[in-house]
Parts: sequence; C-alpha cells; structure tokens
Amino acid sequence: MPSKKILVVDDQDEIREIIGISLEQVDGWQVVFASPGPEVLVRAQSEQPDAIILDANMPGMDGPTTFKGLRANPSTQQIPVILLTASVMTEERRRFAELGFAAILSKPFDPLTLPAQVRLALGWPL
Amino acid sequence: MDETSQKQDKINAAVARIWQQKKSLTLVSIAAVERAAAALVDGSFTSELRANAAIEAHKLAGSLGTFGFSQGSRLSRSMEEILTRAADLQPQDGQELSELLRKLHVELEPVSGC
Repeated sequence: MPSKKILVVDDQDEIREIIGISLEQVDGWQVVFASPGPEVLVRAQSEQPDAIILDANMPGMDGPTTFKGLRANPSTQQIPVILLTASVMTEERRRFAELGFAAILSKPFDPLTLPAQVRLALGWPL
Repeated sequence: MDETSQKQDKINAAVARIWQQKKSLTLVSIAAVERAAAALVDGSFTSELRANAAIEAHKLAGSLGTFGFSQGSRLSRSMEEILTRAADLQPQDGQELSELLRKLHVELEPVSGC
C-alpha cells in the first residue's frame, strides 16, 4: 500500500507529537502538522494530504469551524477529515456526526492502535 | 524481537519521553482545577475560574489516558462534569473536586512526582 500523508491538527503539542510518532512508526505514513486556525486551511491546500486528523476543542478556531472552512474550499473539500474529541456527551457527538466528518475518534487514544483506527475509519486496507 | 514489537517499543519509549518533557503542563492544568476547588470552599469562586478549570479538566481527560493513565482520564472527566453542570456550584462541589484531585495525585505520583 502506498504511503499516506496525514495532516495533524491539535493545540496540545504533546498530543500532536504522539499522533505523529504513532502514524510514522506503525505505518510509515508521512505526517505534517498545522497549528489551529487559518494555517490549517493553507496547509491542507498546499500539502493535499490523504486525510486530516483534527482536534475538536481548540482555542480560536475549533474543529467544526475548521472543518467548515475546509469544505468551503474546492481544493480541500474532498479530503477526509477525522475529528478527535474528548467529549463523551451524546448530543455533542451527534452534532459532530451531522457535520459530515469521515469519522469521530475518542480521546484519550491508544498510540499503538491509532493507525488501525484511522485505516478502519477511512476504509483503507489493514 | 519481531518488527511489530520493535515498533511498539519505539512508540512506548517516545510516549514516556514526551511525558517527561511535558508533565509540567499537566501540573498547570491540575493547578487550575485546584484553584477552582479551593475557591468554591472559601467563597471566592468566579465564572472565570470555573471556565478555565473546565477547559483544563477537559484537556486532562483527553490526554492522560494516552500517557497510560486511564484512571487519570476518568477522574478528570468527573471533574469536568462537575465544572460544566448547568447549576451553580456549591462548596460541597469544591470538596468533591478536592477528593477527585487527591485521587488524581495518587494516580500520577508514582511516575511523575506530581
């Protein structure tokens, strides 16, 4: 399977770093990062990743707002976006699901199994 | 050692390294909840303290489990639930938060010195 490129967006540096190490070590994927905010839209357009992993709860521009920005741009609207959330509230998760994310994954996550969760969510071969 | 085990060892080592580098951020988050708990008990609680503590408890709930502290995430989620209740908080909520914080310190202490 060809290597994938994943754009990771999370306001917590340590979580971003662990996601990166997990995806690179387990599956050899290329990982690029963006800070929360408008940089995500610019990075997504320039990098054209195979998928984006986006934290839900970020200061300034949260995950759903960022997602709407990605969907509004023809050059990024087809990129699958996985939302990562620590929310356990059913109503909030339902609202996220209705926005059209490719998948919603829970925090905390296990770095050893995260890549498999991403593959499963996106229908990529395990 | 097979390839999978080697990858797992590398990830576990990286997670441990990042925890050592970043655990001070965990202490900052815990301190925000401690300030809110203390303010509830002594009557100086404000909406700003509450909002900040709720944000930090949410961060802890979402991150501690990734570092291997599943119980720490559960305790932090309980703190977040208290802090995001619709109702006004009372001194007894501060005591409940303090007890959850005590348990969190016990959970983290052996490996972090928290």
